[in-house]
Amino acid sequence: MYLFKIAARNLFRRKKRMFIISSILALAVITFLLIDSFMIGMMDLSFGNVIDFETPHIEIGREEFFIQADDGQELPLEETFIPEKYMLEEIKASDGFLAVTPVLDFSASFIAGREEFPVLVRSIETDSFGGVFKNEDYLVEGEFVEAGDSGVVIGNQMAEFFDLEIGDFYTLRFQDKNGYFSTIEGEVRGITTTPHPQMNMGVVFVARDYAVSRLGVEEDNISQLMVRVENRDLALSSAQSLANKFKNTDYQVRSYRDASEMLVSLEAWGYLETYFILALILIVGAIGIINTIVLSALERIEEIGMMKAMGLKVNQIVRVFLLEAAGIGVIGGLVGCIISALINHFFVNYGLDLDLYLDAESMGLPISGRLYGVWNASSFLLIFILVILIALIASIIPSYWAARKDPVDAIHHR
Amino acid sequence: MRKKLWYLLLIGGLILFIGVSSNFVLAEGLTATEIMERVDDNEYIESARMEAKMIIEDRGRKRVNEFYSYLQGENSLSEFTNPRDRGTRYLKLGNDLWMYFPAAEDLVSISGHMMRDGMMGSDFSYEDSVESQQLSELYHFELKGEEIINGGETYVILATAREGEDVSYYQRKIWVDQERFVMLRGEYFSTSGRLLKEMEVKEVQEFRDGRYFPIEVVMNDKLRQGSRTTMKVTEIDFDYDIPEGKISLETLN
Amino acid sequence: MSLLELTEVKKIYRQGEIEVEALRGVDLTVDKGEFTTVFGPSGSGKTTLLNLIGALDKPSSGTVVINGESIGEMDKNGLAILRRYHIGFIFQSYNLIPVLTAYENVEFALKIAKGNEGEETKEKVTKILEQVGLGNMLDRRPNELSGGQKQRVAIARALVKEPKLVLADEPTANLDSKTSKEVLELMLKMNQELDTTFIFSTHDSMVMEYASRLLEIRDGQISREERRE
Repeated sequence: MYLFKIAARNLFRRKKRMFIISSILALAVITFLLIDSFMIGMMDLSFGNVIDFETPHIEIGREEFFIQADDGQELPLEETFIPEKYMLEEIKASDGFLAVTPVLDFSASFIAGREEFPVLVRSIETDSFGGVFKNEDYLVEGEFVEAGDSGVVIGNQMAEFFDLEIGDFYTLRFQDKNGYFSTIEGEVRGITTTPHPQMNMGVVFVARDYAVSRLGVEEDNISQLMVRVENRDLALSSAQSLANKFKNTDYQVRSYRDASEMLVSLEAWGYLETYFILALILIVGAIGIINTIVLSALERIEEIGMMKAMGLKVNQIVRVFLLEAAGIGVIGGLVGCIISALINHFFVNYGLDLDLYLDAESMGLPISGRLYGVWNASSFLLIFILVILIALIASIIPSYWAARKDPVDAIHHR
Repeated sequence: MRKKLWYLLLIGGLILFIGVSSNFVLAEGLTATEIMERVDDNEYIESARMEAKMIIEDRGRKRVNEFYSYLQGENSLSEFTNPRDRGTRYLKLGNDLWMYFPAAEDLVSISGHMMRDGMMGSDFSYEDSVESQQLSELYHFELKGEEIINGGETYVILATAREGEDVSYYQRKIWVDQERFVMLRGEYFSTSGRLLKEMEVKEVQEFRDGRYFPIEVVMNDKLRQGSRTTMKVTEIDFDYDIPEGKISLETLN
Repeated sequence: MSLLELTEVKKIYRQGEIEVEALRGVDLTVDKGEFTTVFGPSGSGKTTLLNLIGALDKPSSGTVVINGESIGEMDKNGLAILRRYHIGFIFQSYNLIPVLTAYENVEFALKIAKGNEGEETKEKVTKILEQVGLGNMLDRRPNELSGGQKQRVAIARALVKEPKLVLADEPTANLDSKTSKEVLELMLKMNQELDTTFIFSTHDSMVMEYASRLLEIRDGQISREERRE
C-alpha cells in the first residue's frame, strides 16, 4: 500500500517530464484510435457499398464464372445457368433470408456518339431487384429499368463521360454465347448516383427479358443468384451453410467478403499499417519511459538507499518504479482515450468529407461522399491495456538497475 | 487435211477457251462457295512479311501508325515503327494475343475480347486486319446477285457463320470483283442484323503468279460516329522465308 | 550477551589494480544498551566500519555477528530483513522520503518492520512524533520542515520500530547546537527507557560528551578506546 502511495506521489514530482512522456503515449493512443475508427469506418462503408450496389450478402453462380470474373476476363455467357428449384428453396430457407434476385451479368462495350467504353451489363429482374440492391433509390434522373424495355440505367459518371441525357441513344456491343458480335440498342432511361464510384462508371442496368434475346442464351439463363440476408454476420454463416449444401455441384456460394477479395486484403493491409504506426509511436513512448525511470532513479539514489537501509527488498523497490511507470501509462492511456473519444464523437456524428482528404476512387475503394467514424470499444480497451503494458515492460530493466544499486553507495552518494 | 485443220482449230479453240475463260468466262457458272474459295486463294496469307500504314481519322483528328508484320497462318508478329508507337509489338499465337510496350519494358497478355476491339484505336480489330483463317472455312455462302462497283462487275455474296466456328461477325455481305476475285466491299452484321462495320477496298494490286491482293482498305466502325481507318500496304512479300522462332514469345521481348 | 561481535574484520576495496585496505582487522564487541561513539579522521575506515555494523555491507574476511547472526553468510534479502527488524538508521542528510509527510515517513518504517497493526500503528507513530516534539507537524512534507525538524523525523523513523541497534552517522552535522542538544537528549532518553543500543559516528564533541564509550579509528584499526560512567 505504501509502495503504491509513494509511486503515485512520485509520479507528480516532475510534472513537466511526466507531462511530456504521457503526452507521447496519449498521442500514440489518439493516433491509433482515430486511424482505427477511420479504418473501420472506411471498411464498413466500403463493404456496405459493395453489398448495396455490387455484390450483396451472398451470391451464387457457377464456379468457372467466378474464376473468369475474378481473373478480369470477359464474363463467360457459357457459364450461365437456369436456377433449379431446390436451390431457390435452400436459399429461402437459410438463416436471416430477406430477398433473392437473379441477374445475368455480361461484358460489353458501351457506345454512344463517338465514344466507346467497356462496361459490365447487369441484366436484372425488375420485380425482385429492389429487394436485394439499392441502386434504384439513388436514381437522380429519369426512371429505373422496366421489364421488356430496351432502356438502360447508367451511372452519373458515365452519363458525364458520354455526355448523355435521358432519352439519348446508346448501343451495347458484345459477343453473344456463340462468339458473334451482337448489339443492344435503345435509350438511356435513368441515371443513378450511388456512393459506390465504380458503379457510377462501369455498370449498365438493363431488363433481363429484353437483353436475353440478344445474348444467344436460353430464356431463363442467369449468371448469378443474388441474396440479401438480415445482416453481415448472418451473411457469412448462411453463405457457409449454403456452400456446404451445394458442395458437390458446379455452383459456388460466395459471401460479400469472398467476392471482394481486394477489399479484404486492403483491410488486412490497413490494419497492418495501423499497427505499424502504433508500434512506432509506442517505441518512442517506451524509450521515453526508460529515460524517465533512469532519470528518476538517478535523482533518487539517496532515497533508494534509505529504503534499502530500512529493509526494503530489491523487488519492493522495483515495484515502486514499475507502479510509477504504469501510472504514466494509465495517465497517457486515459488522456489519449478521452481526447480520442471527443474527436471520434465528431467523427462519428459529422464525418469527414472524403473528397477533401483523399482520392478514395483512385485507391480503388468503393466509397465516396462522407466517411463516418465508428465506435470500437475493444480498440479503446486494447490500446489502454497495451500502453500500460508497454510502460511496464519498458521500465523493468531500468527499475532493476535502480534497485540493485548498493545501499552504501546510495546513502553516501553526495 | 480438212479434218486436221478442224482438229487444230478445235484444240486451239479449247486452249484459247480454257486459257481465257479460266478467269471470267467460266465464272458464270461458279457457286458462291467456289467464288469465295478463289477469293481465299488471293487474299488468305499463308506466310508473308508485310509493311503497312494505318491512317486513323477520328473526330477530325488524323493519326498515322506504321508497322511491319510477319504473318504465318494463325500466328503473327507486328511491330510499330512510327515515332509515337515505336517498338510496340503485338504477338498473336492462335487465339492468344500479347502486347509488348517498350516504355514499360513489359509484356501484357491480352484477353480474347481485345482481339475484337479496335487495334491502336482504329476501326480495325486485330482480327479485321489479318484474316487468320480462310473465309470459306468459317462461313456458308449464298450468292445474292450482281452489282457494279466503280464500273466493275461484282458478285454480291451473303456469308453466314458456320456453327461452332469462332467468328466475330454473324453475317457479312461481300462484294467480290468478278475479274480479279478480291473483295471490294464488305458489310459486317450482328446476329440481330445490325450493321457493325463497313469495309471498302480502294486499291488492288497484282502480284507474281497472277495473285491479286487489296493494298488499300478503308474500314468504318458504324457504331462509332465520325471515325474511319485506312490501311495501306506499302510492301508485301508472300514468299518471305520467316526464320524459325521469329513469331514467338521470346522475340516479343 | 553482546549485541554485536566483530572478529578479525577486514574490508578491502578494489579500484582497478589498486587494493585499498579500509579495515585491517577490527575486533569489537558492543553490548546491549551501550551508547557508543566512533570517531576518527575521514579515510580512517570509520564509515566502512559503520556500514558493516549496519549490515549494509559484508566484510572481506573475519566475522560480523549481529544479534547472533553472522552477516557473512547472508544474501542481500537476508541482510535487508535483518536491517528491517533490528537496525534503525539516522543519517546526516536525513534521507527522508520527500513525497511522504512526517507522519507517513515514520509510519512507512513501522509498517515495513511490523506490518499493519491498525490503531496500534497509529498510536505508536503519533506518540513517537510527539516525543520528538513534532506532534503538531504530522502532515508536513520534508520540504516544509527545518533541518532540525527533519532530523527529528529521521530519529523518530529509526526508533519507531524499537530496533535493537540504532546507527547514527553524523546526526548533528547540519544542526545548530541548541537543536543538537535536544536531539541528543532525545536519543539518550530512548537509550535509557528502551535499552536501545546506539552507535554514533561523529566529529562533534557534544555528541562525544553524551557517549558512554568512545572508539577512535585510525588506519583501519581501533586505535584507542575509552569508557565513561
